[in-house]
Amino acid sequence: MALSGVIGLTRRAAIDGQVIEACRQGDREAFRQVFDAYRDRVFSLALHLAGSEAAAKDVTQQVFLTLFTRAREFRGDAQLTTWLYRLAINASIDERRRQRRLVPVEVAPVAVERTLPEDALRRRELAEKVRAALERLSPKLRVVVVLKHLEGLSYDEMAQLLGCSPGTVASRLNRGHKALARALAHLEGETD
Amino acid sequence: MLARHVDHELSLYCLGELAPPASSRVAEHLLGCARCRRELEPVRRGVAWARTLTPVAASGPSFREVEALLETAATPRTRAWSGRWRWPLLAVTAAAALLLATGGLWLRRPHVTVGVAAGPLSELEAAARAAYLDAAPAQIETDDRGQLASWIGEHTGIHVWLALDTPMRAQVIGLGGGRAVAISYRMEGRPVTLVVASTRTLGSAAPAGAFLRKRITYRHDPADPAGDVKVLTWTRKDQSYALVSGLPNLGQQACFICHTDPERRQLIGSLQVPL
Repeated sequence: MALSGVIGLTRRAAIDGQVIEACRQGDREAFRQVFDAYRDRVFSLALHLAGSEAAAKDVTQQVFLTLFTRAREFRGDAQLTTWLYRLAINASIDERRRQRRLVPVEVAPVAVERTLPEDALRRRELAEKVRAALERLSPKLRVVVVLKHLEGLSYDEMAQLLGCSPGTVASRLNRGHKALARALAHLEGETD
Repeated sequence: MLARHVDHELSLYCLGELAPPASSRVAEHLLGCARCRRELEPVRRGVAWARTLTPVAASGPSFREVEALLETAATPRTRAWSGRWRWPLLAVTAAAALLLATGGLWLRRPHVTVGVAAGPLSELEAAARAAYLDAAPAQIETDDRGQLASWIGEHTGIHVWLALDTPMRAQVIGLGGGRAVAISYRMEGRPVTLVVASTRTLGSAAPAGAFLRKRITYRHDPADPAGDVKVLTWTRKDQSYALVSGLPNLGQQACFICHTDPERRQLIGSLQVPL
Protein backbone atom coordinates (compact mmCIF):
# COMPACT_ATOMS: atom_id res chain seq x y z
CA MET A 1 0.00 0.00 0.00
CA ALA A 2 1.35 3.42 -0.90
CA LEU A 3 2.32 5.50 2.08
CA SER A 4 2.08 8.77 0.23
CA GLY A 5 -1.48 9.09 1.48
CA VAL A 6 -0.27 9.65 5.02
CA ILE A 7 -0.06 13.35 4.37
CA GLY A 8 -1.32 14.42 7.76
CA LEU A 9 1.61 12.79 9.47
CA THR A 10 4.11 14.74 7.48
CA ARG A 11 2.56 18.16 7.60
CA ARG A 12 2.83 18.56 11.35
CA ALA A 13 6.51 18.09 11.95
CA ALA A 14 8.20 18.42 8.62
CA ILE A 15 11.68 17.03 8.41
CA ASP A 16 13.18 17.62 5.03
CA GLY A 17 14.69 14.97 2.82
CA GLN A 18 18.23 16.19 3.46
CA VAL A 19 17.89 15.54 7.18
CA ILE A 20 16.57 12.06 6.54
CA GLU A 21 19.37 11.38 4.12
CA ALA A 22 21.86 12.60 6.73
CA CYS A 23 20.22 10.27 9.26
CA ARG A 24 20.68 7.40 6.86
CA GLN A 25 24.35 8.27 6.70
CA GLY A 26 24.54 8.10 10.51
CA ASP A 27 24.80 11.87 11.11
CA ARG A 28 24.21 12.38 14.85
CA GLU A 29 23.15 16.03 14.45
CA ALA A 30 20.45 14.96 11.98
CA PHE A 31 19.26 12.39 14.52
CA ARG A 32 18.98 15.15 17.04
CA GLN A 33 16.80 17.18 14.67
CA VAL A 34 14.48 14.23 14.11
CA PHE A 35 14.41 13.59 17.85
CA ASP A 36 13.55 17.23 18.62
CA ALA A 37 10.86 17.27 15.93
CA TYR A 38 9.05 14.13 17.08
CA ARG A 39 9.92 13.51 20.73
CA ASP A 40 6.90 15.32 22.20
CA ARG A 41 4.50 13.67 19.80
CA VAL A 42 5.87 10.18 20.40
CA PHE A 43 5.98 10.70 24.17
CA SER A 44 2.40 12.02 24.30
CA LEU A 45 1.14 9.15 22.16
CA ALA A 46 3.02 6.61 24.29
CA LEU A 47 1.74 8.15 27.53
CA HIS A 48 -1.86 7.77 26.42
CA LEU A 49 -1.34 4.27 25.09
CA ALA A 50 1.11 2.80 27.61
CA GLY A 51 -0.51 4.41 30.64
CA SER A 52 2.34 5.73 32.77
CA GLU A 53 5.04 8.32 32.43
CA ALA A 54 7.82 5.81 33.11
CA ALA A 55 6.46 3.43 30.48
CA ALA A 56 6.05 6.29 28.00
CA LYS A 57 9.66 7.31 28.58
CA ASP A 58 10.85 3.75 27.95
CA VAL A 59 8.74 3.54 24.81
CA THR A 60 10.05 6.87 23.52
CA GLN A 61 13.65 5.76 24.08
CA GLN A 62 12.97 2.45 22.39
CA VAL A 63 11.30 4.13 19.39
CA PHE A 64 14.19 6.49 18.74
CA LEU A 65 16.78 3.84 19.38
CA THR A 66 15.13 1.65 16.77
CA LEU A 67 14.83 4.62 14.44
CA PHE A 68 18.50 5.50 14.75
CA THR A 69 19.80 1.97 14.42
CA ARG A 70 17.65 1.25 11.37
CA ALA A 71 17.84 4.67 9.71
CA ARG A 72 19.31 3.21 6.52
CA GLU A 73 15.98 1.62 5.72
CA PHE A 74 14.16 4.95 5.33
CA ARG A 75 13.09 5.97 1.85
CA GLY A 76 11.21 9.21 2.47
CA ASP A 77 9.65 11.46 5.04
CA ALA A 78 6.21 9.87 4.89
CA GLN A 79 7.72 6.49 5.52
CA LEU A 80 9.74 7.87 8.44
CA THR A 81 6.72 9.39 10.16
CA THR A 82 4.49 6.44 9.47
CA TRP A 83 7.14 4.13 10.83
CA LEU A 84 7.57 6.28 13.93
CA TYR A 85 3.87 6.09 14.68
CA ARG A 86 3.79 2.35 14.09
CA LEU A 87 6.81 1.83 16.32
CA ALA A 88 5.25 3.97 19.04
CA ILE A 89 1.90 2.19 18.89
CA ASN A 90 3.38 -1.31 18.88
CA ALA A 91 5.95 -0.54 21.57
CA SER A 92 3.28 1.05 23.78
CA ILE A 93 0.97 -1.93 23.49
CA ASP A 94 3.87 -4.31 24.20
CA GLU A 95 4.95 -2.24 27.17
CA ARG A 96 1.44 -2.22 28.52
CA ARG A 97 1.23 -6.00 28.15
CA ARG A 98 4.59 -6.39 29.90
CA GLN A 99 3.46 -4.19 32.79
CA ARG A 100 0.38 -6.32 33.28
CA ARG A 101 2.59 -9.32 33.93
CA LEU A 102 4.45 -7.46 36.66
CA VAL A 103 3.24 -7.24 40.23
CA PRO A 104 1.56 -3.86 40.65
CA VAL A 105 3.33 -1.45 42.94
CA GLU A 106 1.33 0.71 45.32
CA VAL A 107 1.59 4.22 44.01
CA ALA A 108 0.76 7.20 46.15
CA PRO A 109 -1.78 9.51 44.54
CA VAL A 110 -0.28 12.58 42.98
CA ALA A 111 -0.60 15.54 45.31
CA VAL A 112 -2.84 18.13 43.72
CA GLU A 113 -1.49 21.65 43.79
CA ARG A 114 -3.98 23.46 45.96
CA THR A 115 -2.75 26.79 44.71
CA LEU A 116 -4.44 26.23 41.36
CA PRO A 117 -7.72 28.08 40.81
CA GLU A 118 -10.68 25.86 41.57
CA ASP A 119 -11.81 25.70 37.96
CA ALA A 120 -8.38 24.66 36.69
CA LEU A 121 -8.17 22.10 39.46
CA ARG A 122 -11.52 20.63 38.54
CA ARG A 123 -10.52 20.48 34.87
CA ARG A 124 -7.31 18.71 35.72
CA GLU A 125 -9.10 16.15 37.87
CA LEU A 126 -11.61 15.58 35.13
CA ALA A 127 -8.85 15.15 32.56
CA GLU A 128 -7.26 12.53 34.82
CA LYS A 129 -10.54 10.65 35.04
CA VAL A 130 -10.95 10.72 31.26
CA ARG A 131 -7.41 9.45 30.83
CA ALA A 132 -8.07 6.67 33.34
CA ALA A 133 -11.21 5.68 31.42
CA LEU A 134 -9.25 5.72 28.18
CA GLU A 135 -6.70 3.36 29.70
CA ARG A 136 -9.41 0.86 30.47
CA LEU A 137 -10.39 0.58 26.80
CA SER A 138 -9.00 -2.31 24.80
CA PRO A 139 -5.78 -1.42 22.89
CA LYS A 140 -7.60 -1.45 19.54
CA LEU A 141 -10.19 1.08 20.66
CA ARG A 142 -7.72 3.16 22.65
CA VAL A 143 -5.39 3.56 19.70
CA VAL A 144 -8.04 4.98 17.35
CA VAL A 145 -9.41 7.37 19.98
CA VAL A 146 -5.90 8.68 20.69
CA LEU A 147 -4.94 8.95 17.03
CA LYS A 148 -8.15 10.81 16.25
CA HIS A 149 -8.31 13.18 19.18
CA LEU A 150 -4.66 13.82 19.95
CA GLU A 151 -3.07 13.39 16.55
CA GLY A 152 -6.00 14.48 14.39
CA LEU A 153 -5.52 11.71 11.83
CA SER A 154 -8.18 10.98 9.22
CA TYR A 155 -9.79 7.55 8.85
CA ASP A 156 -7.65 6.83 5.77
CA GLU A 157 -4.46 7.79 7.60
CA MET A 158 -5.35 5.61 10.57
CA ALA A 159 -6.30 2.74 8.27
CA GLN A 160 -2.89 2.90 6.56
CA LEU A 161 -1.10 3.13 9.86
CA LEU A 162 -2.98 0.26 11.50
CA GLY A 163 -3.20 -1.94 8.40
CA CYS A 164 -6.99 -2.19 8.40
CA SER A 165 -9.84 -0.70 6.40
CA PRO A 166 -11.31 2.77 7.00
CA GLY A 167 -14.60 0.97 7.74
CA THR A 168 -12.91 -0.89 10.59
CA VAL A 169 -11.45 2.37 11.87
CA ALA A 170 -14.91 3.96 11.81
CA SER A 171 -16.41 1.04 13.66
CA ARG A 172 -13.64 0.98 16.30
CA LEU A 173 -13.90 4.72 16.83
CA ASN A 174 -17.66 4.49 17.36
CA ARG A 175 -17.14 1.65 19.83
CA GLY A 176 -14.37 3.61 21.56
CA HIS A 177 -16.57 6.67 21.95
CA LYS A 178 -19.46 4.61 23.26
CA ALA A 179 -17.20 2.81 25.73
CA LEU A 180 -15.84 6.14 26.98
CA ALA A 181 -19.38 7.45 27.42
CA ARG A 182 -20.31 4.33 29.41
CA ALA A 183 -17.20 4.49 31.59
CA LEU A 184 -17.74 8.17 32.39
CA ALA A 185 -21.52 8.19 32.66
CA HIS A 186 -21.30 8.85 36.40
CA LEU A 187 -19.53 12.14 35.68
CA GLU A 188 -22.18 13.50 33.31
CA GLY A 189 -22.69 17.19 33.89
CA GLU A 190 -19.12 17.83 34.90
CA THR A 191 -17.93 18.74 31.40
CA ASP A 192 -17.82 22.38 30.44
CA MET B 1 -36.79 0.69 1.19
CA LEU B 2 -33.04 0.65 1.67
CA ALA B 3 -31.79 0.69 5.25
CA ARG B 4 -28.84 3.02 4.74
CA HIS B 5 -27.95 3.43 8.35
CA VAL B 6 -25.37 6.03 9.19
CA ASP B 7 -23.86 4.54 12.36
CA HIS B 8 -20.39 4.31 10.84
CA GLU B 9 -20.44 8.06 10.18
CA LEU B 10 -21.65 9.16 13.59
CA SER B 11 -18.22 9.87 15.10
CA LEU B 12 -17.20 12.11 12.20
CA TYR B 13 -20.66 13.71 12.29
CA CYS B 14 -20.28 14.54 15.97
CA LEU B 15 -16.76 15.82 15.38
CA GLY B 16 -18.09 18.09 12.62
CA GLU B 17 -15.68 16.57 10.14
CA LEU B 18 -18.18 15.39 7.55
CA ALA B 19 -18.44 17.38 4.33
CA PRO B 20 -21.63 19.51 4.22
CA PRO B 21 -23.59 17.19 1.85
CA ALA B 22 -22.73 14.11 3.92
CA SER B 23 -23.51 15.93 7.15
CA SER B 24 -26.94 16.97 5.81
CA ARG B 25 -27.59 13.41 4.67
CA VAL B 26 -26.73 12.03 8.11
CA ALA B 27 -28.86 14.70 9.83
CA GLU B 28 -31.78 13.88 7.54
CA HIS B 29 -31.40 10.16 8.18
CA LEU B 30 -31.30 10.71 11.93
CA LEU B 31 -34.63 12.53 11.80
CA GLY B 32 -36.33 9.44 10.45
CA CYS B 33 -34.34 6.60 12.02
CA ALA B 34 -34.81 5.80 15.70
CA ARG B 35 -32.08 3.17 15.64
CA CYS B 36 -29.37 5.58 14.49
CA ARG B 37 -30.67 8.24 16.91
CA ARG B 38 -30.17 5.75 19.75
CA GLU B 39 -26.60 5.18 18.52
CA LEU B 40 -25.94 8.90 18.23
CA GLU B 41 -26.32 9.82 21.89
CA PRO B 42 -23.56 7.64 23.42
CA VAL B 43 -21.23 8.46 20.50
CA ARG B 44 -21.87 12.17 21.00
CA ARG B 45 -21.14 11.89 24.74
CA GLY B 46 -18.02 9.83 24.07
CA VAL B 47 -16.79 12.41 21.57
CA ALA B 48 -17.37 15.17 24.13
CA TRP B 49 -15.28 13.27 26.70
CA ALA B 50 -12.55 12.43 24.22
CA ARG B 51 -12.32 16.09 23.25
CA THR B 52 -11.13 16.87 26.76
CA LEU B 53 -7.99 14.83 26.12
CA THR B 54 -5.00 17.06 25.59
CA PRO B 55 -1.44 16.33 24.53
CA VAL B 56 0.82 15.98 27.52
CA ALA B 57 3.68 18.38 27.97
CA ALA B 58 6.74 16.26 27.36
CA SER B 59 8.95 15.20 30.17
CA GLY B 60 10.22 12.38 28.01
CA PRO B 61 13.81 11.30 27.64
CA SER B 62 16.46 13.78 26.64
CA PHE B 63 18.58 13.31 23.57
CA ARG B 64 21.54 12.57 25.84
CA GLU B 65 19.72 9.60 27.35
CA VAL B 66 18.89 8.16 23.94
CA GLU B 67 22.40 8.91 22.76
CA ALA B 68 23.81 6.98 25.71
CA LEU B 69 21.63 3.99 24.80
CA LEU B 70 22.76 4.35 21.23
CA GLU B 71 26.40 4.18 22.29
CA THR B 72 25.68 0.99 24.24
CA ALA B 73 23.87 -0.52 21.28
CA ALA B 74 26.68 0.46 18.91
CA THR B 75 29.45 -1.06 21.03
CA PRO B 76 30.71 -4.04 19.05
CA ARG B 77 30.35 -7.38 20.75
CA THR B 78 33.66 -9.08 20.85
CA ARG B 79 32.75 -12.69 20.94
CA ALA B 80 35.43 -14.84 19.43
CA TRP B 81 34.10 -17.67 17.34
CA SER B 82 37.31 -19.43 17.18
CA GLY B 83 38.68 -22.89 17.53
CA ARG B 84 37.06 -26.01 16.24
CA TRP B 85 33.48 -24.54 15.99
CA ARG B 86 34.39 -21.69 13.65
CA TRP B 87 34.18 -23.49 10.29
CA PRO B 88 31.15 -25.66 11.08
CA LEU B 89 29.35 -22.52 12.24
CA LEU B 90 30.23 -20.69 9.04
CA ALA B 91 29.01 -23.64 6.98
CA VAL B 92 25.70 -23.76 8.84
CA THR B 93 25.27 -19.99 8.43
CA ALA B 94 25.99 -20.20 4.69
CA ALA B 95 23.52 -23.08 4.29
CA ALA B 96 20.84 -21.15 6.20
CA ALA B 97 21.46 -18.05 4.06
CA LEU B 98 21.16 -20.13 0.87
CA LEU B 99 17.95 -21.68 2.14
CA LEU B 100 16.51 -18.28 2.99
CA ALA B 101 17.46 -16.85 -0.41
CA THR B 102 15.92 -19.81 -2.25
CA GLY B 103 12.79 -19.63 -0.08
CA GLY B 104 12.53 -15.89 -0.70
CA LEU B 105 12.72 -16.33 -4.46
CA TRP B 106 10.15 -19.10 -4.32
CA LEU B 107 7.78 -17.00 -2.22
CA ARG B 108 8.05 -14.09 -4.67
CA ARG B 109 6.59 -16.21 -7.46
CA PRO B 110 2.92 -15.59 -8.14
CA HIS B 111 1.12 -18.36 -6.33
CA VAL B 112 -2.20 -18.62 -8.09
CA THR B 113 -3.47 -21.76 -9.74
CA VAL B 114 -6.63 -22.24 -11.73
CA GLY B 115 -8.48 -25.55 -11.81
CA VAL B 116 -11.54 -26.45 -13.86
CA ALA B 117 -14.64 -27.83 -12.14
CA ALA B 118 -17.04 -30.33 -13.64
CA GLY B 119 -20.19 -32.01 -12.35
CA PRO B 120 -23.03 -30.41 -10.42
CA LEU B 121 -22.71 -26.92 -9.01
CA SER B 122 -21.66 -26.67 -5.39
CA GLU B 123 -24.01 -24.99 -2.92
CA LEU B 124 -21.91 -21.81 -3.03
CA GLU B 125 -21.78 -21.75 -6.83
CA ALA B 126 -25.53 -22.38 -7.10
CA ALA B 127 -26.30 -19.55 -4.66
CA ALA B 128 -24.04 -17.15 -6.55
CA ARG B 129 -25.56 -18.12 -9.89
CA ALA B 130 -29.09 -17.67 -8.50
CA ALA B 131 -28.22 -14.24 -7.11
CA TYR B 132 -26.65 -13.28 -10.45
CA LEU B 133 -29.66 -14.38 -12.50
CA ASP B 134 -32.48 -13.39 -10.15
CA ALA B 135 -31.55 -9.75 -9.67
CA ALA B 136 -33.37 -9.80 -6.33
CA PRO B 137 -34.03 -6.41 -4.69
CA ALA B 138 -31.00 -5.08 -2.88
CA GLN B 139 -31.08 -4.32 0.84
CA ILE B 140 -28.40 -1.71 0.44
CA GLU B 141 -27.20 0.22 -2.58
CA THR B 142 -24.18 2.47 -2.24
CA ASP B 143 -20.92 3.57 -3.79
CA ASP B 144 -19.38 4.07 -0.36
CA ARG B 145 -17.18 1.02 0.27
CA GLY B 146 -16.80 1.86 3.96
CA GLN B 147 -20.55 1.97 4.41
CA LEU B 148 -20.95 -1.28 2.51
CA ALA B 149 -18.24 -3.02 4.56
CA SER B 150 -19.85 -1.87 7.83
CA TRP B 151 -23.29 -2.95 6.68
CA ILE B 152 -22.09 -6.39 5.63
CA GLY B 153 -20.10 -6.84 8.83
CA GLU B 154 -23.07 -5.87 10.93
CA HIS B 155 -25.56 -8.13 9.14
CA THR B 156 -23.42 -11.18 8.42
CA GLY B 157 -20.18 -10.96 10.38
CA ILE B 158 -18.34 -11.21 7.06
CA HIS B 159 -15.48 -8.87 6.29
CA VAL B 160 -15.42 -7.64 2.69
CA TRP B 161 -13.42 -4.64 1.56
CA LEU B 162 -13.97 -3.73 -2.07
CA ALA B 163 -11.34 -1.37 -3.35
CA LEU B 164 -13.17 0.51 -6.10
CA ASP B 165 -15.68 3.29 -5.54
CA THR B 166 -18.31 1.89 -7.84
CA PRO B 167 -22.06 1.58 -7.20
CA MET B 168 -22.68 -1.70 -5.38
CA ARG B 169 -25.84 -3.45 -4.24
CA ALA B 170 -25.92 -6.11 -1.57
CA GLN B 171 -28.34 -8.48 0.05
CA VAL B 172 -28.04 -11.05 2.80
CA ILE B 173 -28.74 -14.60 1.64
CA GLY B 174 -29.06 -17.87 3.53
CA LEU B 175 -26.33 -20.38 2.77
CA GLY B 176 -25.19 -23.56 4.52
CA GLY B 177 -27.41 -22.82 7.50
CA GLY B 178 -25.77 -19.43 7.99
CA ARG B 179 -25.74 -15.97 6.51
CA ALA B 180 -23.83 -14.99 3.40
CA VAL B 181 -23.82 -11.83 1.34
CA ALA B 182 -24.41 -11.35 -2.40
CA ILE B 183 -22.85 -8.18 -3.79
CA SER B 184 -23.67 -6.99 -7.31
CA TYR B 185 -21.75 -4.44 -9.31
CA ARG B 186 -20.85 -3.71 -12.93
CA MET B 187 -17.49 -4.17 -14.55
CA GLU B 188 -16.97 -2.91 -18.11
CA GLY B 189 -20.73 -2.35 -18.27
CA ARG B 190 -21.54 -5.99 -17.46
CA PRO B 191 -23.21 -7.29 -14.32
CA VAL B 192 -21.12 -9.20 -11.81
CA THR B 193 -22.21 -10.95 -8.61
CA LEU B 194 -19.88 -11.82 -5.76
CA VAL B 195 -21.11 -14.09 -2.99
CA VAL B 196 -19.08 -14.32 0.22
CA ALA B 197 -19.74 -16.89 2.94
CA SER B 198 -18.01 -18.11 6.04
CA THR B 199 -15.95 -21.21 5.27
CA ARG B 200 -16.92 -22.68 8.62
CA THR B 201 -20.60 -22.35 7.74
CA LEU B 202 -20.07 -24.03 4.39
CA GLY B 203 -18.11 -26.89 5.95
CA SER B 204 -16.96 -29.45 3.42
CA ALA B 205 -18.85 -27.60 0.66
CA ALA B 206 -16.30 -24.75 0.82
CA PRO B 207 -13.87 -24.51 -2.12
CA ALA B 208 -10.66 -26.31 -1.23
CA GLY B 209 -7.55 -24.25 -0.70
CA ALA B 210 -4.01 -25.19 -1.67
CA PHE B 211 -0.80 -25.19 0.31
CA LEU B 212 0.83 -21.74 0.06
CA ARG B 213 -1.21 -21.00 -3.04
CA LYS B 214 -4.44 -19.31 -3.93
CA ARG B 215 -6.45 -21.93 -5.75
CA ILE B 216 -9.22 -20.65 -8.00
CA THR B 217 -11.74 -22.99 -9.52
CA TYR B 218 -13.37 -22.04 -12.80
CA ARG B 219 -16.40 -23.40 -14.60
CA HIS B 220 -18.86 -22.50 -17.34
CA ASP B 221 -22.41 -22.42 -16.09
CA PRO B 222 -23.71 -25.81 -17.29
CA ALA B 223 -27.22 -24.34 -17.69
CA ASP B 224 -25.93 -21.74 -20.10
CA PRO B 225 -25.26 -23.46 -23.44
CA ALA B 226 -23.76 -20.29 -24.92
CA GLY B 227 -21.02 -20.49 -22.28
CA ASP B 228 -21.27 -16.81 -21.45
CA VAL B 229 -21.80 -17.22 -17.72
CA LYS B 230 -18.61 -18.00 -15.82
CA VAL B 231 -18.20 -18.91 -12.18
CA LEU B 232 -14.99 -18.54 -10.19
CA THR B 233 -14.71 -19.85 -6.63
CA TRP B 234 -11.96 -19.77 -4.05
CA THR B 235 -11.29 -19.76 -0.32
CA ARG B 236 -9.17 -17.21 1.43
CA LYS B 237 -8.49 -17.35 5.15
CA ASP B 238 -11.84 -18.18 6.74
CA GLN B 239 -14.11 -16.96 3.94
CA SER B 240 -15.20 -18.53 0.66
CA TYR B 241 -16.04 -16.58 -2.48
CA ALA B 242 -17.97 -17.16 -5.71
CA LEU B 243 -17.82 -14.68 -8.56
CA VAL B 244 -20.30 -14.88 -11.45
CA SER B 245 -20.16 -12.78 -14.59
CA GLY B 246 -20.45 -12.78 -18.34
CA LEU B 247 -17.07 -11.10 -18.79
CA PRO B 248 -14.63 -12.41 -21.41
CA ASN B 249 -12.11 -15.24 -20.90
CA LEU B 250 -12.50 -16.60 -17.36
CA GLY B 251 -14.41 -13.54 -16.22
CA GLN B 252 -11.36 -12.68 -14.16
CA GLN B 253 -11.73 -8.99 -14.92
CA ALA B 254 -14.40 -9.00 -12.20
CA CYS B 255 -11.58 -9.59 -9.71
CA PHE B 256 -10.41 -6.01 -10.30
CA ILE B 257 -13.05 -4.85 -7.81
CA CYS B 258 -10.60 -5.90 -5.09
CA HIS B 259 -7.27 -6.04 -6.91
CA THR B 260 -6.22 -2.57 -7.96
CA ASP B 261 -2.48 -3.12 -7.93
CA PRO B 262 -1.17 -3.04 -11.57
CA GLU B 263 1.10 -6.06 -11.07
CA ARG B 264 -1.69 -8.09 -9.57
CA ARG B 265 -4.01 -7.09 -12.42
CA GLN B 266 -1.44 -8.18 -14.94
CA LEU B 267 -1.19 -11.54 -13.21
CA ILE B 268 -4.96 -11.90 -13.07
CA GLY B 269 -5.23 -10.96 -16.76
CA SER B 270 -2.75 -13.67 -17.68
CA LEU B 271 -4.63 -16.50 -15.93
CA GLN B 272 -5.52 -19.33 -18.27
CA VAL B 273 -7.63 -22.43 -17.94
CA PRO B 274 -5.25 -25.40 -17.90
CA LEU B 275 -6.00 -27.81 -20.73
